[in-house]
Order: sequence, then C-alpha cells, then structure tokens
Amino acid sequence: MLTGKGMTEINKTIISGGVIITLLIIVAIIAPLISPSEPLAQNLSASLSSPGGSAFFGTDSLGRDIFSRVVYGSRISLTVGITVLTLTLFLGTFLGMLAGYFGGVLDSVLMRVSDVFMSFPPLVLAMIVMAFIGPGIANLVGVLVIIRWPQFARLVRGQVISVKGMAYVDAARIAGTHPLKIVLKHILPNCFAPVITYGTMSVGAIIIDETALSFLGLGIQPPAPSWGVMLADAKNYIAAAPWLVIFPGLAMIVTVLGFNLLGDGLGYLLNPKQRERIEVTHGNIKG
Amino acid sequence: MEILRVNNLKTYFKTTHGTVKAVDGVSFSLNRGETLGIVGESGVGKSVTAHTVMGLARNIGAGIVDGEVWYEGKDLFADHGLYGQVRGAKIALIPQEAGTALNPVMTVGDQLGEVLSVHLALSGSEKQQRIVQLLGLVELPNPSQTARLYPFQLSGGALQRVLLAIALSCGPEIIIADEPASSLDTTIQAQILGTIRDIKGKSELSMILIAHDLGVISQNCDRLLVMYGGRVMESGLTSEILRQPLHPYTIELLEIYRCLDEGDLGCDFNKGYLPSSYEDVPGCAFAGRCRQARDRCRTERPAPLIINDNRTVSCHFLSA
Amino acid sequence: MFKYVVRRLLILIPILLGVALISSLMFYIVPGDIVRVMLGQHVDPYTYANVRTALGLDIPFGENFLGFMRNICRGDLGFSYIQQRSVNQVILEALPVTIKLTVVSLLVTIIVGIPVGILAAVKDRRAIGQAVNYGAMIGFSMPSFLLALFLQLFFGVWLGWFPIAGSGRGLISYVLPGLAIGLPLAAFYARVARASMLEVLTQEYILFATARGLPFNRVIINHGLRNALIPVITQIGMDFGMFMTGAVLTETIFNLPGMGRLIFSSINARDFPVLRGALLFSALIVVIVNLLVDLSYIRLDPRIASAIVREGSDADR
Repeated sequence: MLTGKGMTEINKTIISGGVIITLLIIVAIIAPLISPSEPLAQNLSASLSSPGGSAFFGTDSLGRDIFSRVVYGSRISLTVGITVLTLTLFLGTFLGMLAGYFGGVLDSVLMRVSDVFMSFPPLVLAMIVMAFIGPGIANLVGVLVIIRWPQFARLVRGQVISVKGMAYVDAARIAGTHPLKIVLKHILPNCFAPVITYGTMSVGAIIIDETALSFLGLGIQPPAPSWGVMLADAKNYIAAAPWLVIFPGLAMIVTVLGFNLLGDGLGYLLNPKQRERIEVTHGNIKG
Repeated sequence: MEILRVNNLKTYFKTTHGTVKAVDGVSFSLNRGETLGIVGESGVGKSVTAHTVMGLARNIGAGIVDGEVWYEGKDLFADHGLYGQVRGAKIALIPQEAGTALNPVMTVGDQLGEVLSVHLALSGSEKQQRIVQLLGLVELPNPSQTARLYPFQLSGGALQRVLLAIALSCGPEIIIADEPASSLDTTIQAQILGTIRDIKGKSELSMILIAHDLGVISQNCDRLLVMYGGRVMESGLTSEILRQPLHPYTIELLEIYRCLDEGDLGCDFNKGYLPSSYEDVPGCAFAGRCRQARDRCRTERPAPLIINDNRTVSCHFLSA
Repeated sequence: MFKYVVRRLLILIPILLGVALISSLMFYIVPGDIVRVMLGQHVDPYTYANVRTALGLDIPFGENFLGFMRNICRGDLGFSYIQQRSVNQVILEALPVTIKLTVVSLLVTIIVGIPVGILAAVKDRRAIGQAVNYGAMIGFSMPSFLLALFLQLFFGVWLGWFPIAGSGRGLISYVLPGLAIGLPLAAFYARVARASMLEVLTQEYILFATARGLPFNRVIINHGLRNALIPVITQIGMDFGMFMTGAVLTETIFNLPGMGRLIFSSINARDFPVLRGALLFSALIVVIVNLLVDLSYIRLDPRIASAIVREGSDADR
C-alpha cells in the first residue's frame, strides 16, 4: 500500500516527525537518568558559566545546569501539550458533533460563541484569565483548553455537516437507525482523519502557547524548569550568556517541528485525494 | 497527402497498483483535408492518444512516453521544444469538458485574445476585431457581448463553441477534437458538429475526431481508427468499415451502436470485460471478450494485416 | 451589493457586542474589590467613592453596559484612573507604533512568503521545491518571540546592525521586530500558497492553457497565480488580527510601546478601562479588515460577485 512516488515523501515526513517525538518522549521519561544535576539545584559559585565540563549547556544566573533544566522542561511541555490536546479534542469534538448533527439554535449559539472567542487576539484571552485566576499548571491547562476548543468544534462541525448530507446517512435515518448509532457508526469515523491531523499539529501550537505564557510570567512559575520560564530569565542576560536562550529555544523548535512534521505527513496520508493530486500535479509542471 | 504521421505511440502511467499502458503501440497517419475518427468505448485510450500526439502526455501524469510524431518533416517527439510553435498555432486541441477547460476568473474574450497575442502577436483593436470575428464564426450570438462574459455565465453549448473558436483562432492545419459536445444533449452536439463541418468545408482543415457515437462517426469521419485496450484493432475508410467490419471488436461495437440507436433493450452481448488496466496483456487486447478467441490470441499479439491501400486489421483470426 | 455589505455588518455586530460584553464582565468577576485592585489597597475613601461611581459599579450591570455602549457610539472608550487620562489617548499613543510594526510584518510576510510558496509548488518535483517546503515547516515551528530573541541576539548583540530595543531610531527599529513576526508567518503562508498553487495546477484549465500553446510562464502567472492567490489573500486578511495584536510578546521583547504591549501592561497593572478599550478597539479593526477582505474577494473572483447579486435579488422577493 505504501508505495509510489508520492508516498515516499509522506513516509519521510511521518517517520522524521515520529522519530523526533519518540526521542522526545524517551528523553522526558528518562530525564533523571541523563541529567547531570537536579534541575532546581543552585550553585551560585558557578553561575552563568558557559557550556563545558559537566554543564553541557552551561549554567544560568543561579548556577543551575541548563542541560538538566531543558531535559526536565521537556516533561512539562509534553505533559501540557498532550493533556490540553486530549481535553480539547474531547470537548471540541463533542460540542462540534452536537452542533453539526442537530443544527438549529444549538448550532447558531455554538458558532457565535466560538466567533467571539476567536475574535480575541491570540493568547490575550489566556493572559487575562491567567492574570485573574492565578498561575499554576492546572489553571494553565484549563485556560489553554478554553481558547482552543472552538477550533476543534468548528472542524468537527464542518465534517459532520458534510457527512450528514451524504446519501448513506439519509439511508440509515430512513431505515430508522437510532441517531446515536448513526453518529457513532457513520459520522464519527469520517471525522477521524482531519481531527487527528489538526490535533497533531495543534500540539506544537499548544506547547508554544504554554511557553509564551510562562515567558510572560502568567503560566508555569519559576523555579520550575519550563522552557518559557528559562527564556524569560534568559532575556535579561542575552548579551552575556547567549546559551541561556539558545538551548531552550532549540529544544522548543525541535519539539514543535516534530509534531508539525508528523501532523503534516498524517494529513497527506489520511487524505487519499491529496496523494493523487501529487501525481497529477507533477505532470502539469514541466520543471 | 499525408500531413501527420504517428508511429508506435506508447504512453504508460505508473500508479501504486502497477503500470497502466493507456496507449500501447498506436500508429496512424492523417491526410490533408480529411477527418480521421478514433472510436472505441470509454477507457480504451482515445483521449490519451490525443493528448500524447499534442505532446501533453507528461502533463497528464504519464511516466513513460515513446514513439514518433512526424509533422512538417520533423519528429516532434525527438525535439519537444518544437511543440511550442506547433501547439495552438498549427495543431489545436478541442478538449472534452468545456466547463472546466477555461480559467474561471478570466473572460472568454480575454482567453481567446491570449492565444492571438501569443501566436499571432496581435494587439489592441486588431485583436478585439478578430475576437469578435472568431466568436461570430462559430455562430455565437452577440459576439462582442459574449466576449465579456465569464465561463460560468455561458451554457455548455456556448462554451464548446468558444473552445472551437480558440482552436481555430490561429488558423491551424490540424484540429484534434476530443469527443466534442459529448456531454451535451444530442441536438446541440449535432449543431456544433455541423458548424465544424461548415468551417472545415471552406478550408483545407484536417481533423482527428474522437467519438463514440455511430451517427457522429458516419456523418463526419472519412476514415476510422478503432481502438481497444490502448491498441488499434482496425482502420480504414468509414464507408468500408461500416459496410463490412472485419475485426471482432469492430463488429461488436457496431452492433452495440445500432442496438442502442434502435432502442432495442434485448441486445445480447458477450459479457466480457476490459482487461484490468494493470494487467500485462501479451496477446490480443480483445482476447478476453472475443467470441472467437483461441489460444494463440491470448499469447501472441496480432500484427496489423494490410488488406488494401486503406484497410488494416489486427486479428489472428482473419489471417487464417 | 449594498445589501450584502449591510448584511455582513449585521453579522459582525454581535461579535463586537460579545467582545464588549466579556470585557465589561471583567469588572465584575475580578476577585476582590476592583477599585482597590486597580488603585491599591490604601486608596482614600473620597477617590474610592468617585471611581466607583464613575465606573458605574453601583448600578445594575445592564444599565452600566448600555451606558458604556452609548459612550462608545460617541467615541469615548473610557477613562484610566491609574494613568489619569482617557483611554482614547492611551490607545492613540500606542496606535502608530502598532501600525508601523504591522506594515513591516505584512511586507515581510508577503514579500518572502508568497513567492517562496509559489516557487515550492512549481518546482515541487525538484529538490528545491522539497527543500523549501521543509524549510518553511521549520520556519513556522519557531514562535515569533523565540525568533525575536534569536534575532536580538544575532543581529542586535553580535552583529550590532539593528537596535534591540525601543522605537527611538525611526523605522530601523522596526526591522527586527517585523522580521520576528513576519518570518514565521511567511513560512506559514508559504505553505498555504504552495498548497493553493498545487491545487490549482491540477485543474483542467491549466492543462488546456498549455494545450493551446501558451508559454509556461504565462500559464503559471496568468492562470495559475491568478486563481491560487485568491485563497491566500483571504487567509491573510482573516489573520490580520494576528499581525496586529499577537505582537504582544515581540513588542515586550523589543520594548516597543504598541497595542500589544499596551494590552499586556494593562493586564499586569489591572488597568481595566484601558484593557477593555484596547480589546474592543482591536476587535473592531479585525472586524473591519475582515469585511474589506470579503469585499475584495468579490472583485477577485467573478463567480462570487454573481452569486451575491443573485442572493440579493432573491432576498428582495
């Protein structure tokens, strides 16, 4: 099945993304084993030392080992990312399905509500809520779910509406199948592909959001080794100790890239029409 | 007088399930002023042949393209760059689906004008005049107004006429018409073909007409090429073939056409199948469906048997 | 046509109302006494009473909200008690900075992103097309604030070519921040443009354009681009909000006093009137830009124009 010119491209993407994420998860799990020091352990005499020796990535202003902190930070990012995704997925899918299937007032209300959510500048809503209810990982996860669910709901709703209009759903309904069964058996499977793709790519965005909020002091609080917290600290020493910015930054880029690659590859894989397009398009371009 | 010669054309598509040999060794020639009809049921490779002759095989996704296309003393396949001057200007294509063939966000007149600018270097009022003239030539009412319309604002029949106008715009020698107007209703199709015949009658235009309708064939084509499974089964003068078809496929095809024409629902045909495009067919392409198929037919590909000046047939059975 | 514009405006009004509503609710749901939160625990009773009345906290929410809406129609977005000046003034101060930054970012995105995306589509089979595609992916895996830090480090500190903070040195101060916002978005739009172009290139009319002998370049530009850019432009229009106020982090890093930083600092300072005014203002801008994009869409795609005309005449019956 997985053969052909277009497929090798897709495979490369999925595999590279998958490899990155797997490595990341492994690093997060074995963090204690590979860290030379405790992430919170201060050593003021060695503060702001450049990379070298036992501190591969250098140390920060309080002498904490950057490498250990980056490694432990991956735990935070992954946990937040996957938790928020799972919750958003369920909430968004559920609401989107309701709105799409039953339509009418329910649908209109959902659309207006999500419109309002989406017309706030990105992250601003999160910032405001975090400012009110206080920082902390639980609050953060909740807030991130609140700002993301409308997108999932809209996606699912769109899918449900287009599937609902198809002949085989009408047939099932006429045959008297219970609505719940129709939803589960016919509609839900069709939502998988775009939801999985969008979901995977969202994890990257969620991690970026967490980092951004922590960077602003509105998310994870110091001394926890969130990459955002590390970057906030790094900002002040950017000239003197660039390694404070570079390593957490690279970690973030690689993580987000991994999820984006995986999501991108999945997007093409799960959409057979896209694959064919690749073949035909190549013909039209003489280049 | 021969103006186009096609030798052993091959167009293969590589897919995830195998290689599709859409055109597998097709040869024919076109004489000045004649209409050559290419007939056969859906999927036998007629359209791909047309596109391949136009040098567009790769553009529709073909992996392997081979053969020779001789025009004006040169093999266009040997030097693909020649197609730049030939396409649209000397050999023009009328595509099958009028609705999707034109750019939806440009007016019909602009798209016609484009070809005039590029091939004939016309501009300004001269170009405008020619546009109106061409649209009138293909019998479109209100040509100057029509030129300002967008494709979605025109009916199928009108669009087909526009495509005809574009094809004729630069005074080509050859027109390849891929089932023109076949998706429209028969009256309109007949009208459009009539227009084409009129125009053709007044010039030395040569045409390759792809069709699947008996009426269209008998009225428009001087010679016929009968295709099946990407290969030519029979070729010759239309009158002769219709009067006395020789290849089993031609016989069956004509029976089907006559049967459908007469509206006889009790047509009885050998329920065969088009060989799956992905199979490699060592023998005759029609072997799977032929009533007279023998072992030899399945293993050995029949060579074209030349019966007389105009007639060839590819069948083992006849040479016996 | 006019009816269409009116109808679109009508849909947008509930959205603005929603934003106004939520931002007004803030005043009521803040834990603790809002006046003390804004002005500090030890505010004198006189000021306390005045501010409380001025904010309308003693009258029912509905009345208060209506009053606010009436003020808005008069163009008055409120008064900041912390800064002791009108919200309008505060916003007007921040606006020019934001406008300059938005323009620079937009330019970066459009000039870098779209050609790159189109190139990637046209050369999709070649190595360069693939390289660009993946490069773009790396590009938008990098959030703007991170890029801001890297740019600050590389061009500001190490190379010293550009200022790393403040809007003082004129337009050149906007280069790094503009790049920080513009480049990741350029990467994103490069992919959008690429996808759109690839989609267009599979269309029948592209094949026929080649079939009638039009040169390759002409086919790509007049027929390919013309159709492919429509969804890209629409997308940019819809994301305009992101250009304008998503700059919070970048403005903070580069110390530019624009709307983004204004929103952030008003959250930190608990300056609710300013926050509410700024939110409403940015929502308004986004809404207007969306409308303009919709209208331009009509000009770009004749099919939409006729659909609207038909809709309009239907609605008359």
